[in-house]
Amino acid sequence: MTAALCAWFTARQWKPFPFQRAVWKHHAAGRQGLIHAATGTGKTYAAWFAALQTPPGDHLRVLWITPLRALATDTLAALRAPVEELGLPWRVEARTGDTSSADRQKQRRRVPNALVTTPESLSVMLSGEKAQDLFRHLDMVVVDEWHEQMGSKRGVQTELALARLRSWAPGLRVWALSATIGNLDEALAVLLGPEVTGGLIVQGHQPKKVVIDSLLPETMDRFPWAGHLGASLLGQVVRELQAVRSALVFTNTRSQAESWYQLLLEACPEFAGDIALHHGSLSREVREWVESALRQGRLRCVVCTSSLDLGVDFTAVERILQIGSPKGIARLLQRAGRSGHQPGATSRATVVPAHAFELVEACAAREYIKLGWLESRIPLEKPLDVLVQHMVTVACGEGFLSESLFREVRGTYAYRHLTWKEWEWALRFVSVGGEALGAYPRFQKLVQDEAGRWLAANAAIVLQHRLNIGTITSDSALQVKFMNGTQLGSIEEYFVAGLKPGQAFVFGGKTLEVVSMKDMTVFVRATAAAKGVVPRWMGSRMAISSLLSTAVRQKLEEASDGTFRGAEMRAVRPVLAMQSQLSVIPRADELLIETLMTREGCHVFLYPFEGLLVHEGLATLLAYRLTKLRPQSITTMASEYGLELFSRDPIAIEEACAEGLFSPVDLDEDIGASVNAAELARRQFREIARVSGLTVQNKPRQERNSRQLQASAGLLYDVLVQYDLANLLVEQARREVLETQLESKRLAGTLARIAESRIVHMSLERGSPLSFPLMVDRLRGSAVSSEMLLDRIRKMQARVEKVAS
Amino acid sequence: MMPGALELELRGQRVVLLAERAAYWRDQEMLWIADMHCGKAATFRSRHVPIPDGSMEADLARLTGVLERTQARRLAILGDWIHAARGCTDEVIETVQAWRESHRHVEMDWIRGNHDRLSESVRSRFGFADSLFLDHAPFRLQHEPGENADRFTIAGHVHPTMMLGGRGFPRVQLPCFHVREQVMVLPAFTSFAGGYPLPPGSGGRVFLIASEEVVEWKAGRG
Repeated sequence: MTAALCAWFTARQWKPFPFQRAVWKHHAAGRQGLIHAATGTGKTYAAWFAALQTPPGDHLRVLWITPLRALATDTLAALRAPVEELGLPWRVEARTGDTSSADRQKQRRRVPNALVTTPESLSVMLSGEKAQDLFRHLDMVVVDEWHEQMGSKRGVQTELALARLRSWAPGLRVWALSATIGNLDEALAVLLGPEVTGGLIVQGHQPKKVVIDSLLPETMDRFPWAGHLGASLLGQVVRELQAVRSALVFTNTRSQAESWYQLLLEACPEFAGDIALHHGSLSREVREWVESALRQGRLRCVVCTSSLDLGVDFTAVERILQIGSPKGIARLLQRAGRSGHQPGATSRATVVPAHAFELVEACAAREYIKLGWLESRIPLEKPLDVLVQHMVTVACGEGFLSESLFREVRGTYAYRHLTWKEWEWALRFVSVGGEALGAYPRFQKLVQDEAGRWLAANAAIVLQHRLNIGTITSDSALQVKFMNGTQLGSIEEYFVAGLKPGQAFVFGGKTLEVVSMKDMTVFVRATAAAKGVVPRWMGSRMAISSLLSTAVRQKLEEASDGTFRGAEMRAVRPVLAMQSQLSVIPRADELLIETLMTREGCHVFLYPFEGLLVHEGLATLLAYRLTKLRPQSITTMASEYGLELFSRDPIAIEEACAEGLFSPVDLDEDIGASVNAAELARRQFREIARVSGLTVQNKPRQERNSRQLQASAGLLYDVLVQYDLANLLVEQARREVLETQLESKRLAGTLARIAESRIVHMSLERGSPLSFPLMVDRLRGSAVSSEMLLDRIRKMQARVEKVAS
Repeated sequence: MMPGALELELRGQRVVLLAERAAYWRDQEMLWIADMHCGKAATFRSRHVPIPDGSMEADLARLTGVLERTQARRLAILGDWIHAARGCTDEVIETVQAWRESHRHVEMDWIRGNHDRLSESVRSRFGFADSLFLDHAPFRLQHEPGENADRFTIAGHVHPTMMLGGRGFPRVQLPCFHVREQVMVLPAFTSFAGGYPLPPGSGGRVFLIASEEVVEWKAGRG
């Protein structure tokens, strides 16, 4: 480390941390690996100063891959700061989807020494004809927030890009920056691929103290046992916000964020102008404004979604509130880490439970965080859609020889088990259009030159491909604009379709009404209406993680032993006492099954505590098996904690258990027969079709209005299933459904666990507190309005409380 | 009456709605279909989207089946017989010609749809009588479902469907016939086409094609 660089630290009265020095040393010695540290602890400079040790020369030397476009600006500023202050000759620039074509031209004429980019923009650069010239002098790639990229198709895209760069720049060293996850060793292996050895994990400085606590209801008597919004603690949330300078209020969905923003303003009108809203469907301008106001400490509170999970720190933020279930332990910790960046401060996240049992979740999560037990990110195995896209990317640039690109791709972790047969299929898919199209000469995307190199067949293909590089499928969203053209964000088509003319809706914290709709744009104006409907966005539904479920089961076991450790457990004690009075609290090695006969029929509740998705799959499976044993009509409901089977006639659940209801035998067949896996796969195909280029998200301007090529992914899926049996992308859709939507492995694991559990049957007079969320969801399905629903829930709860007392 | 079919009276005429996505005018022994979109897969392929053949062949076979079952003397194609000019490859045209040849005894009329923009030389190769609309009292057969003063319109073009389910049930989209005061809209004949869900409150009567059967959808009963 040169004295000049050290001086920069000294000037700030900083001292390099030992882990930063370690990275500098290792990098200088030609080593690479993963830097593991919490946010705001100097990861960025650990990597950046390693690069600055050698003079930049005239070439591109450092590539900095950030997962979000929005982070690029902040990262660029952070990298430029020491360069400018020390007067170093490094030219540092950014290249993302937001970079203007003038700036891109400039970068082409005068190559920067370091470039901040995203996986998508990197792929676009790889598709350039002179990509090799640009990248062959690279000596460092930094992959920022690797824990966030890994386990997604974008992460796989990054893996493929890294393989490409390694083949061009043999001296390249790759460093990833990662927050804590359960499988750091695997994260390193994925980063470097199976062929690179000697990767290091450098443990960062972990100075920050993290406090996880919960808002405890003042009284448990009127605290709900079910629900998602969490509005019953609104008053307490307002008081907490009044006591801090700046806070982030995290919600689990965009709708919930909109609702909470409204609730806070209604409860405390003087917050107006002092609080803001931030989520992924708001326009970039709005989000950037909120971020910069946060950075300057001008906002007391921002209600947000995972849109603010990542990014450069907001120093002013003192406190995090998490509305509702944190869903995962790592997620809660990550969010907590967004606060407390003032010197000497602690990070603090407070869970605001939406219902009583979320208190148990919060307590369980805190204990696991203390033990350092966090979820793992499971890397993806050879997604062919991403591979197919990469092949076209490479063919748009310098092209490839089949065998050498195959070897290069096999050098990534994701494709280490790729077979030659699968490779050949992918190559046929992008050249002649796949197995079934072998006989169609007109289909040509890639063609071979005399030397056998595969290249894009023409310039139009290159243009269209570059416009569509990436793995993120955007919804068919409509832009929301004011009449003067000011853009507010985007909203899903089906929501707008359901709006009646003149009906008010809430968006971006404003109450609006639709004026007109034209060309995928909804023109709106502000309205004086006091209330409006809150849009829903179809996000992927998140279930609580397997690890958090395990933690919850343990806390319940303690409670069943009469131990209540932690403030939340003590607070929720009356509810748990009622549970054990009316039924029992299941131990970790027990499966509780409650049967309740009502005027409507027979309700059977099971509590595996395995998360929503597993319970949905399990519920359909059990209903299928029960009806196979005895023909009857059974409907199902699922929640994060359990599932309900309902029939008008009695369900002989005890006999069925004895007859192998939970047997692992024929599991796959029964899942296949019970779940509408075909329909799920058809939906899953949307992303695959988009990534593999079957459907086109962005068309070149002159073809934007062409209707000739309009076909939904679902329709293409139907055609391929019928007329192209060997299509591996169809196969991939089926696999993704089993693994991600049905979590079939977790489902099998759950059945295995149940097989070893003691089954406790309870016959109930009234619904137990645990059964409440399920009963409520059933009601929601038939409720006319949300007010009526709340009313009915209240009455039900009052009845149960009366019986218990 | 055919299995799965449903007979209606329109302007005093007997019209049978068929689950094969066609309608049969019994009094005139005339079959109506709309939106066949021949050559759609070929169109996609020409733009580098690898879609295999098979759907057009299957659609033609289904049309053969209906012609044989109804013993129709005439066939009226209510527009969009082909998908796009660039999909009219020799293979596509030859397949359609061979099919036409095997139904020589059936009189066929091709009403032009918005997709049927072709040069005359290509159009003539298909071997149909072609027109902008057909008047057969009390009906006017045309592509787009506009109202006519003194005629009941039979049309296609919009690919009507109905969205069912939701609230815990898987959502399904079913093709349908939409019959209003002055107009009947046929579902798209091809299975390689999506559809446009009828907006809520569209009025009229809706006849769904649900697992090979035509059933009338009565709102509020599902």
